Amino acid sequence: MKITAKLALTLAAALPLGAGALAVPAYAATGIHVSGQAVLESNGASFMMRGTNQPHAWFPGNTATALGWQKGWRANTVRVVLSGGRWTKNSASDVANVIAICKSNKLICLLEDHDTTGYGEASGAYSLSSAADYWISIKSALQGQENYVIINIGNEPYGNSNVSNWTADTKAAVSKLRNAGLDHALVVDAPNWGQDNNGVMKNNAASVQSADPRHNVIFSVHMYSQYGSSSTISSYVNTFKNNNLPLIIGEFGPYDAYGDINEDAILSVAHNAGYGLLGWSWSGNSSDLSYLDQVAGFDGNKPTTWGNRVWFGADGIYSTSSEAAIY
Amino acid sequence: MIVRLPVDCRLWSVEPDARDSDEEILTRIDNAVIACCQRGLPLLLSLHPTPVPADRRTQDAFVAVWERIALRYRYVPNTVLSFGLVDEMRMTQDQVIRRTVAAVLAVTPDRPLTDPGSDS
Repeated sequence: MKITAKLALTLAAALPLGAGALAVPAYAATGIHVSGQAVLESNGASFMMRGTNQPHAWFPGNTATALGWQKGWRANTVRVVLSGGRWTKNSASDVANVIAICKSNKLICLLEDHDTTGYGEASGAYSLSSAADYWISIKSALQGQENYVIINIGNEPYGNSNVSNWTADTKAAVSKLRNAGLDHALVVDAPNWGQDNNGVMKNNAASVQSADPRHNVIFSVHMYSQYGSSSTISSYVNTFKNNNLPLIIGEFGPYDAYGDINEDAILSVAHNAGYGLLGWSWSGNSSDLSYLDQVAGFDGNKPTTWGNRVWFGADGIYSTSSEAAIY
Repeated sequence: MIVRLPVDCRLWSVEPDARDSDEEILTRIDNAVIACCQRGLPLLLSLHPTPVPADRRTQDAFVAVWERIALRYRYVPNTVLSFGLVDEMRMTQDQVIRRTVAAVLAVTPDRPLTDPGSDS
């Protein structure tokens, strides 16, 4: 039974003092929501995200086919790249269609605004506040979808400059979305191009969660070459686990231009900790980053070395994913 | 190293139509594929024993069994899964084998198929 604030107050007034504490939450959980370190669905079932990143903003024509393959490879979630204007804007109707494709493939839709990538360092990057404005501008496509959609406010919202501003900016963006009536689970990315080199997200996650009136924030780190050692990966993940905070690895790969990444440890540690992960990315990377493509040319018949590893290797998506209970 | 998983299609086929099947049994095969993935082991799915189709109806049923398997695992890469269509040369009807191969490859064009008769 959904207890409204009004009904809860009535119940509280009807009970004699001392009849037992009636816990009246300041909010009612809506759709996918956080409980401690866990991500739960509306029915209370635990949900561990497993899937990939889909570059919809740049290759919208490939999304429907790609999500079909991803479902066939047993993904339960897809992180969808969108743009609010840094690239061609994805309109409310386009996003509604993306959500429909997710639902027809029984995937949870983690929608992310890529415009903020490298803010403060990358030319043309948008602020988190601007990203919040984008979500509000397309809220007609989002409201009512809380069982199926998670909003990732802004991708890698700071480069390596002024990263201490991340905490206040993130809280402000969350507040802006809540005030606009968006009650979804929210994912916030770490600064330092998502890698949280300086631990700003790690050290301030609890205060960000507390500042959200719905306490429904999931933290996302992108594990690239800062995460070359198993101990670094375990240490980072265990900090969130020990603090009872929800975490996902929203992006990771096998290596990048700066060094190797311990993808085996990422897969193993995240699985054992009960945290979600989403590899970067299905296909469409530029030629210098083509080693990050999981399939060649958006063709599921052509899995790459990275694709075979992340989907079909030990602790891979195929063997660790469970379909969302809502489906 | 490869894992050969002998499966008896009589366990999941629901008479009279071989295209119907017992989902609970097929889920066990799904789990075997998943378990092999988790361990980095390619899996050879092999009908064992191979039924001997004596007439057109049973021949069609044999083709349908493999067509169903091909469809179920159409997204699983060739590096992970291959099929052994017949077992221990019990199937000698070339025409049925050709039909089966064609049906499987129509669904998964690159699926590795063991040489009929050599899968034992």
